[in-house]
Amino acid sequence: MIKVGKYEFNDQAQATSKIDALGDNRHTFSILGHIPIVKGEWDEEGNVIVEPVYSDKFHVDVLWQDQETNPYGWATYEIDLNSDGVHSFFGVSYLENKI
Amino acid sequence: MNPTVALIPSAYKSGLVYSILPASGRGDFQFNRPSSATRVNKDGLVEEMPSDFLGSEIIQNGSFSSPSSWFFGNTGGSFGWNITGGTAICNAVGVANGRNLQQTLSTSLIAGNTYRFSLDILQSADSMQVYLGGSLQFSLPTGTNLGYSIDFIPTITSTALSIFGGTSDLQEIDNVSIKPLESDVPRLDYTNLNCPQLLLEPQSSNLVTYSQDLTDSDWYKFSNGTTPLVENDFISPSGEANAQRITFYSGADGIVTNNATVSTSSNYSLSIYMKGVKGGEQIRLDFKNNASQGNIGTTFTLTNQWVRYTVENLTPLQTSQGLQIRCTNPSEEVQIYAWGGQIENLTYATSYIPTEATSVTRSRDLMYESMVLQPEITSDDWTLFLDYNKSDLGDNRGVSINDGGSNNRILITQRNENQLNFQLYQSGSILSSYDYNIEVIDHLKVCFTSTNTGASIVVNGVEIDRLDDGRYDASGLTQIDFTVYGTTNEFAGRVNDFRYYNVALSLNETIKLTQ
Repeated sequence: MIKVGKYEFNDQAQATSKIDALGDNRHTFSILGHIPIVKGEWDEEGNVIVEPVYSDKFHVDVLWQDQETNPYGWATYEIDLNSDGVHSFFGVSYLENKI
Repeated sequence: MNPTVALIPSAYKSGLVYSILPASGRGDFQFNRPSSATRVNKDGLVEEMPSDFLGSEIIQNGSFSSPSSWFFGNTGGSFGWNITGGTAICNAVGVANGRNLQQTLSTSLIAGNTYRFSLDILQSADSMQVYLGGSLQFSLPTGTNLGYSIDFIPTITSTALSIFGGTSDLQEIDNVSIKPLESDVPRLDYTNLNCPQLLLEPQSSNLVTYSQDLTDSDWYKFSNGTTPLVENDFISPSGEANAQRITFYSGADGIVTNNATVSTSSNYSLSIYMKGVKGGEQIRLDFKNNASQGNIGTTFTLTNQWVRYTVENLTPLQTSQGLQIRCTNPSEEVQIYAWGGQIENLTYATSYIPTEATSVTRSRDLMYESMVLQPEITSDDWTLFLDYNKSDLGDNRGVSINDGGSNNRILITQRNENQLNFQLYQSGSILSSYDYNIEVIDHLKVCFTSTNTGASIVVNGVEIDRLDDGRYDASGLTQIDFTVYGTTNEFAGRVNDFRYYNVALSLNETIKLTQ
């Protein structure tokens, strides 16, 4: 059984700590980091047209295997989206497999 | 000389890669990959291999076209099942039949396996219950006109299916189905050879958000003359009409590019399928953003056949860079086809990961836990043979003979693109470690032979070293893993052939084997 979770941690150290605490496992962690909220755009001369804006949270998507609920300490940081957001796992629907 | 274990990738099923020898099943490797992935199939087409798929239908006459295959039981209460008008109804009409709608399945549902149960609930006043072998498996939702499915793992092995309709609850159902859900599907890939290679790859993400649609506004089109024209609906390497044709106009530099968020402290690879309309077109792939800031890549001369072009091991100069397709100042109009753009946070390109609107991650392929060496090795005479392509194998990846843990093991590891390493661990300490230069050759056939007087290492028909320390006694080792140990540093690449011999082959034999 697989589940998908999306998480917003305070910083990279916290995310790393949470992942490391799980020990050896078969889950798939996609470390998105500070995702762009507004995509940057430049003209051909390199002048900024749109200044990129990044989330101040550290984002991680997880494809959980044989894990029906969030592991201890993860639920607090879970976010609930009504779409895939900026990232998905190949062939696995987030909306149909939310943890 | 027959090997004790021979894995020539050719056969697999859900969660298992079969060895040729031994045929008893002891040599079969467990396999795991929870996401989809792509491969090149026998016809040369890029196709998706889902992580799971549905097997054949187990229910007979699930559409209730007639009463055949179904029977009833468990009388009592005021309602019961009857089959009429192409549906199964539990109401007062069927009270004499009973509240259980039953079928003896053509094949057993196996405890521990996964199945998908689905049906249409036309009406349900209270939760129906599904039993297998008299054991409750799950309940169904109430409601009207619901399409419902559930993946379940039977708690019992049985052919006896029963749907309990309740004592006095109006139920009506149609299109009942049970199919086995096969998961963890390995990939046999036909990219390089006529015979398949087992594709074992690390986790990777495609950072290009519209990998198959270069007409999307995420792909910027620029020129200092006429802007390149990108058109859709041409036949792609997947055989579908979803490739693009790009027209670069004469007398100007034409660029089609996108931006991805990257790290200046990581390495990346670029890849894309392209072919020229005529052949001979000069196209440069850069790692740059839409301001053309970033890394200059490589210029390729296209043919009129689809080829996947890669530029590898690039360190970004900006935090926003992407895959840039550039045609520099052509003297006449240039038309090419393009499909499957990919940026990966890896030093080398892996198989294609399609995207549409988001970045997409493919999980790693993990092959592990073969207990083929039972009974355990009792001598120091043994031979390990591995045939693989190094170019798509990550650093510090390899195979091991071990004791089920990490304390006692013999490793063949590719340290990096240029070095092969052999190591012997005993009681948690490294006793021997040797590095060998392999920088020239991509397709490697490696044979390590141990005897009580030492060891011989033969690569592609040449003995590259002979160790006289006599310390490669593998006694007590029980397991072969396609990992360095446990689930870490798993082998990730293309496996052509793998064999373990419980004897030491002669030098002539190993030279012949690796030529």
